[in-house]
Amino acid sequence: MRAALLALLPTALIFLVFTAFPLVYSVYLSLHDWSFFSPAREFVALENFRKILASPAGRNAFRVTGLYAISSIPLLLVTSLGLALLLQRGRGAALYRAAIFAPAALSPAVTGLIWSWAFEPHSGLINYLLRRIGLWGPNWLADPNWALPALIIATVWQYAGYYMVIFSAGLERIPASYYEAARLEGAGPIRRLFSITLPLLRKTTAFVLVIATINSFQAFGLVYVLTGGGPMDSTNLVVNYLYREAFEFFRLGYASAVGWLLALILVALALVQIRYIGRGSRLREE
Amino acid sequence: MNRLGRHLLLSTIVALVSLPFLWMVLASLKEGAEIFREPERWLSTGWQLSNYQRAWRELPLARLYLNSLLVAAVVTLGQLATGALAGYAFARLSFPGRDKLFYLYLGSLALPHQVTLIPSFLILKWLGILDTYYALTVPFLAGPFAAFMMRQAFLEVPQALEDAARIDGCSRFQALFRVFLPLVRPSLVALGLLVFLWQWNSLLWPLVVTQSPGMRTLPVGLAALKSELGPDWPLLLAANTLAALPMLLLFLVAQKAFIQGLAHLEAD
Repeated sequence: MRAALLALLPTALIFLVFTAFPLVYSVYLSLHDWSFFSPAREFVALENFRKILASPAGRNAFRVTGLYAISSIPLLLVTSLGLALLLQRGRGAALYRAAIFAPAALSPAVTGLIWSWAFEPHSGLINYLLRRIGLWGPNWLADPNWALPALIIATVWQYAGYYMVIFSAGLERIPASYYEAARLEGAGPIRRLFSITLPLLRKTTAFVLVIATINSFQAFGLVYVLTGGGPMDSTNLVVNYLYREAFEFFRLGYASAVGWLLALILVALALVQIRYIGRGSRLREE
Repeated sequence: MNRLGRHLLLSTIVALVSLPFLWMVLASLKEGAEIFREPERWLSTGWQLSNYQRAWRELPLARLYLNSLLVAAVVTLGQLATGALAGYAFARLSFPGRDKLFYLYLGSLALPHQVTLIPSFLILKWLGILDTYYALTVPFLAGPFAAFMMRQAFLEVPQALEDAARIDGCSRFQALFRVFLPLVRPSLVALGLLVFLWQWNSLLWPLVVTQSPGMRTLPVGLAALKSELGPDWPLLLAANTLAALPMLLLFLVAQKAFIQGLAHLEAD
């Protein structure tokens, strides 16, 4: 007992000071109208939340984040699963896997600069490649219609390899004997994919889905460096919006409410996803 | 698909993945105006390192590297120590409500850390340690992920080994240091690498708590350079290439441990 207390002490201290207390305090802040510079701190109940949903900028932040999540998550799932399947067996898999994973080891700040250059309208890689096939690319990062797709492309580039590694681990746990049995029964590669691989990857897929959802709703670094939220707020994702409200305009109460709204959405999504997974695994046992 | 076709396809994918990075490196090796004059000639006529010399001379890169290294190393050591202690308590010591407490702690991962961002900033402000190395490291010296990973590792150590150590007269903590820690070295290495990577790469927190250029970490410095240098692409790209190198080298050396560490996460 004494040993346990001692062993948990450092962790408990950090948790209390930098997680538990801030959680309570941010609830308090979210219910107050408080700017960093004015000493007045007025209790406004849920007014901050109402303001977020009523203001075009606040609504836009959540809308753009939803768009970003809905378009980047399926792309990430398909590319990472495809890559994992392609690398399931055979020579050199580890080497290819490492090369494809490498972008995930980079800071989003570094990635943001790599892609700022790649999307440069005149000398950038993407428009160069488009010119090679006879197309004239847009001015990606300066065009409100193209900045979000640009952000999504950079996101997939950075993280597809990361989710691929998780899928690969899931694939490795499928016993080889299942495939041998299926082969003996005369099942072709397509049949094996749909009857063995995909059903048995269900749990892994759900895990990747949950993590990818969390990550896309919390995306910041890439946004901040690549587009800064612009042009015309077209990539002003929630966390970038929160950052600007809090640390550029110092509306700390309002920004805390933005944080809690994000947290509520994420918890709700996680509950839905976990319920779905729970139902799935029950079905399999029957 | 035959073997040759598979290798061709995979090589093409790897080439596509590396292209944006290579495009930056190629541009960083060109003479200033050349990168805009002839974008079609992507293999430069004359390689040269002047952008790198200029970046190293004109930008505070050494300081940024040093700050990032210091912060990431301190946080990594801190999390290894606190994570091992907490994981040991949650896996191997008995006290009332142990598992409930653990899952509650782990559950705090579900709340996005943006919720605690503003209050944590205010706490550091009250303590008067904004814009210091304390602000960059102390909040991250312990975390649920480290406790979780070390708990997993300790749970796999056979009870018989612990019993033997206890019979030989080891105290709880002696057993941790002499029996448990040597046995979970792979987990320590994987955890250390992941924490180092996350810390080295993180942007939001260092951006919020640093003000003076001398306290910036590499990601914050890069973000600032982009807005300060504006269109000085050759300099920016050389700096960014230099910034990318340490992590790529570390990954190259330790890729197996990285990938296994990440793959391990999903097993539970």
